Amino acid sequence: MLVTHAVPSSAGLASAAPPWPLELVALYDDRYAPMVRLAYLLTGDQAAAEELVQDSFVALHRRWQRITTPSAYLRTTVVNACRTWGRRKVVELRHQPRPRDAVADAPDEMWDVLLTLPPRQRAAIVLRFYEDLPDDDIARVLGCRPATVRTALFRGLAKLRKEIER
Amino acid sequence: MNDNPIDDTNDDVRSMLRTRAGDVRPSGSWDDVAGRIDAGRRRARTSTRFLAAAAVVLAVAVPVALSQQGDERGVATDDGGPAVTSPATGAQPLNGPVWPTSSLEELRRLAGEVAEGTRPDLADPRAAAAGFLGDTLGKTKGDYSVGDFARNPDEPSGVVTYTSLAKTKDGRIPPHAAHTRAPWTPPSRGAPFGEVLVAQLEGTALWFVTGASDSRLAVHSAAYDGVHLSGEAVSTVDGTLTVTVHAAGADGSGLLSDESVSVVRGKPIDLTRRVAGKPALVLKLVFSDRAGTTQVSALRLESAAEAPQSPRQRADSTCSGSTVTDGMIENVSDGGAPVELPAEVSARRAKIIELARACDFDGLAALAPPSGFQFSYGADKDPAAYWRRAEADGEPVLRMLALTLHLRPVAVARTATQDVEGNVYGPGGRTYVWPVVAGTTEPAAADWDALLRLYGDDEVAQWKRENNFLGYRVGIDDRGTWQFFVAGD
Repeated sequence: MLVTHAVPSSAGLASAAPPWPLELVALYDDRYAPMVRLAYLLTGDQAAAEELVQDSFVALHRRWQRITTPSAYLRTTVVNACRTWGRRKVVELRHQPRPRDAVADAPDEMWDVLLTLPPRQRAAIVLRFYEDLPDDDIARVLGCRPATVRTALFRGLAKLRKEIER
Repeated sequence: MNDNPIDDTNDDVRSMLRTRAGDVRPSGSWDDVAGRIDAGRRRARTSTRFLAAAAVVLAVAVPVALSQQGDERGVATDDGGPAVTSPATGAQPLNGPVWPTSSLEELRRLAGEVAEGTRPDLADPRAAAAGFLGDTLGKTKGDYSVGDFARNPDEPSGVVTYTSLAKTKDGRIPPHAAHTRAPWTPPSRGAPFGEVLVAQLEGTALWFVTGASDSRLAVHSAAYDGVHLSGEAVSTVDGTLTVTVHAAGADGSGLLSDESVSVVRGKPIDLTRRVAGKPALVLKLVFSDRAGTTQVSALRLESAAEAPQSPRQRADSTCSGSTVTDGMIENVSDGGAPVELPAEVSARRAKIIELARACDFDGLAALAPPSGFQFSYGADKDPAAYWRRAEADGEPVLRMLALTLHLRPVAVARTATQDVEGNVYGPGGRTYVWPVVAGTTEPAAADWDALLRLYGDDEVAQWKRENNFLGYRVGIDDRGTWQFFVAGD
């Protein structure tokens, strides 16, 4: 059974404080920062990451009564929000000139290339190497087959290496 | 050297990702989220000055038709604002008079007073606009500055621009010179300005107001159990418009995602939205990247729940497919010579479009063959469930389906298969694929350009650069069998 309580709001809402599910607030405390970091890796934009994660919590609240695994649902929502954002956003880094004598394994160059990958490939790489998810879980998050995840990983990493070695 | 890039690169990638993530210091608190949720709940109820004013503007300026379904319902702010009901005859004619009166008979009477010189405020379009602003917005002369009158060349009508002199949020007063009509100069971001549409009563000297617009537009209604909003607005700028359809229930449910819509100056913006089972609705248009105006050409707000519907039907009445308008289709279609399709293909295409626009998920799924139909790269079994879920997550699947089928297709040869004994399976033939870039390995520049009518510039540019189309594609074979509707790589 879900328990609700009133959360005092700094936005002056306390007088008509709506009840929030305790578990939702606890989930926020536990997962907000990790989700922002995940969203940042997927978008390359911290402000956008925070916006998207907050939007995801709003979406989570909307469907709270119907969700059985909130943490997984939250991650999927965040990843999908970031992919949608990525499809629409101009990735300005893509057009920035590459520094001369780029070191193959220098973090900045690799990061720049990562941001130029198609959203699915980027998401697959981040979920594998940052979230340490297996193919099946990544497939569930991305809504694709595990084979597609492996393909995305292979292509994405190949592009990373190719671009870095260029 | 290992040829597998995964083996070569993964440690570096892992290290880089963790370093990058470790540098992020998230800000924010639960209050931010709570505020968003609460803002959603209260948006329909909160009586900000703008919303109240905008509601007044629209209630007066926009032809609003309420379906007469036994009980006459009103459009009102639910904080006790003005209520306006439609005339008993239903929808008012487009660009009909809204000020000083909507009655033609009364206008003719006033025209007599104008002729007698007793109503100089109606003898001049700028004066009429000022009167409208004062009467409907409660503006005083210190609140606004009436700008130029731009008369339409072929008829006695035109536009009067006005600039609010009230300070904007950031404290700047927008320059009046920015609001000239031709050539168009977008005003500064957030500038509160608008236009009043005026016309002259035929054969008289009387000017009356037919509509108005502002940099933001809101329709605020209350007491609706199910709302169907339809209409079009015409953008006067190029840019991105955020459409917020907010339907707040008593439980705070019903906040729909903001929708970013690319708009082109002079092109209609579709405003059709359906929201079922919610007691209030707000439609708000905000230009997110620059301020601009919208000229509402028609807007109808009516009860959607005329007849009891099953829960499934009610859920399906909210879908992106229902937002597809003839104007959107016209924009997507290239206007070239129609592509000759076999009758079976043409019929199946038309049926898919019809069902997509009707949000008939189950009907669409019934058109798909029991096996071999590709709708997802995942393990999903039920296309209707998959599409419903995607729509619920904010992906406008059915709208993309309907619009994709208005792009040009390409016919792709379908190879027959032959087993080791020489038996040939499958008739070969052709599959028609929408759009062209999804069916050919070497699309022409024009094929990529065609996508710009449906996708964003940056998205198309990336696909073109990588020769890797990731958008929606539809396939129907020459027997009329729907083969696939899927997006991604």
